[in-house]
Amino acid sequence: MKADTLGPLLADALLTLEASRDELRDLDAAIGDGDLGLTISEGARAIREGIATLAEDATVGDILRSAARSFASANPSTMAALIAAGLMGAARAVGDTAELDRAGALLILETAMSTIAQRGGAELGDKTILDAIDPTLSVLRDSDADDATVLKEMIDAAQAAVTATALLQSRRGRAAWVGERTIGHPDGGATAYLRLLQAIERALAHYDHLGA
Amino acid sequence: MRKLINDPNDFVDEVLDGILLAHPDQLRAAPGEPRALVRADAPGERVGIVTGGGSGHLPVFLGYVGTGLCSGVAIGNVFSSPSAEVVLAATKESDSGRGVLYLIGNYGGDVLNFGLAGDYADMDGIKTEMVLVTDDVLSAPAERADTRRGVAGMVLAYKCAGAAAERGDDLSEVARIATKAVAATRTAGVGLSPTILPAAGKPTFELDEGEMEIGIGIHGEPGVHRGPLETADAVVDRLLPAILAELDLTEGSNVLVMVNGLGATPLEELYVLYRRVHADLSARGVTVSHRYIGEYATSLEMAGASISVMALDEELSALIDAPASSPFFRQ
Repeated sequence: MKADTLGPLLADALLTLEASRDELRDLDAAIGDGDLGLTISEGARAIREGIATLAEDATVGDILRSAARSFASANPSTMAALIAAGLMGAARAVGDTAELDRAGALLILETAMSTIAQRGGAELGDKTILDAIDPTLSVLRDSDADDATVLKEMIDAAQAAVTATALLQSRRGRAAWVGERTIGHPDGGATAYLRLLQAIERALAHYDHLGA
Repeated sequence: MRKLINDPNDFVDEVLDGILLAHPDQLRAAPGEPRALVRADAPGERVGIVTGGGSGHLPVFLGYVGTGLCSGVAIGNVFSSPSAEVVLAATKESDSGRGVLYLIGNYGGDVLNFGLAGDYADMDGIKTEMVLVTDDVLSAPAERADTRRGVAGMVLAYKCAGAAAERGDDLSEVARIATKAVAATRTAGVGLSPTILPAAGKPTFELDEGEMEIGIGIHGEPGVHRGPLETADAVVDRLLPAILAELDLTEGSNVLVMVNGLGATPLEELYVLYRRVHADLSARGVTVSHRYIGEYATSLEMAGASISVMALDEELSALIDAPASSPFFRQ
């Protein structure tokens, strides 16, 4: 995919993601402080607005850098700073390329995941967004199906992971203070990642439908 | 709430207004970013040192922006981290082309936002390094020393790193000095009364009259022991051993001692504490060659104090002795 179609596609997906605000707020309010809904919805809106101001020849790296700064500033929070750091790391890793292929997408997700883990000091099983990203990486790495099928498989893997986070106890962030009472609630960050993948699937369907 | 304030929501900005009006020859705000302050003569030709964190700890953090100290500071709301954009503004204004050291206390939000600002600065071609101050021995056991919080020891790290930057050392050397200063310093504190946030109007934690909490954090983070208030000597006898257990001091060692008031404890009481610290160290054959007694890192109107000890060698002694000047610190 060319960078000049990635921007509009991402903007389309983020518009869908903004509709997850109330769901994410409620999930977060159950075990944290409830600001995740705003962090994601305001962040998604800010990224869309930022992408709209980018030059036509913006690279994949430019789009990710713009997204990072927009997301960090929209509704500043620990989660916003972590995701932004992940996007900045991904921008550095993928570089100023005009073309995003599957290897590039994998590199973006792998780098974002390792950066978030390192900056946030989180490990798999701590009941965070990392628990949802991780199983989708192996799908993307190993599958040789077409793009739409791979994305579908990634969504299934993320959905299973989100369901599994309900069995875990939060060990990072404000939710960690709640301790055992977090068990039974799925993680909000992991759910946000699932909703992003689903939103991208929907945007891709629009895009294919238009035959662009 | 007994506070001399206006609208609580304007508190931080009005503090900064007042400081800039009082000290225009020493401090200025970065263009377009009133929460980022720098030395009036920044960037000069030095390596920059940028610090920052939440408001409510004066003279930390902005009180240590000056000659022979930090070059810039990013200021957050009371007890809240500044955003990465504010840190970036302080960074750009502090960079002479020789890079910028981020020297901050080890608090989650600050570490994340300064880390992100370092990513932004990298995009602008500014090289940054980060050194975290982790001097509070009572905030985590020795095996998790890297998770400890930074408290009054930050001031000593600023002093040493700032002296190194002022004499023209390069970024990696200034970072090495800062790391060495942190490694040589330990702090332990006691709280006697809570802090009241201007915007919330309520105490951040409860501490009954006549109680003390050993190891309390400068934002009211829980300590290691809560109990009836004891005498000054007994409190020193609780704090000092925790500090000395981790410093390799022998007979003939030189140390710096800082006895720091947390905001509402009178200077007289700090000297009562110092007296006991001095006597204890002397009995061990340790020489107190430098001392700082007063308010260096506070928590609004919290009553209480912290004791810091820095093990000195020739290199650190010389850096501590170097001249320094800010509106809040001069030697």
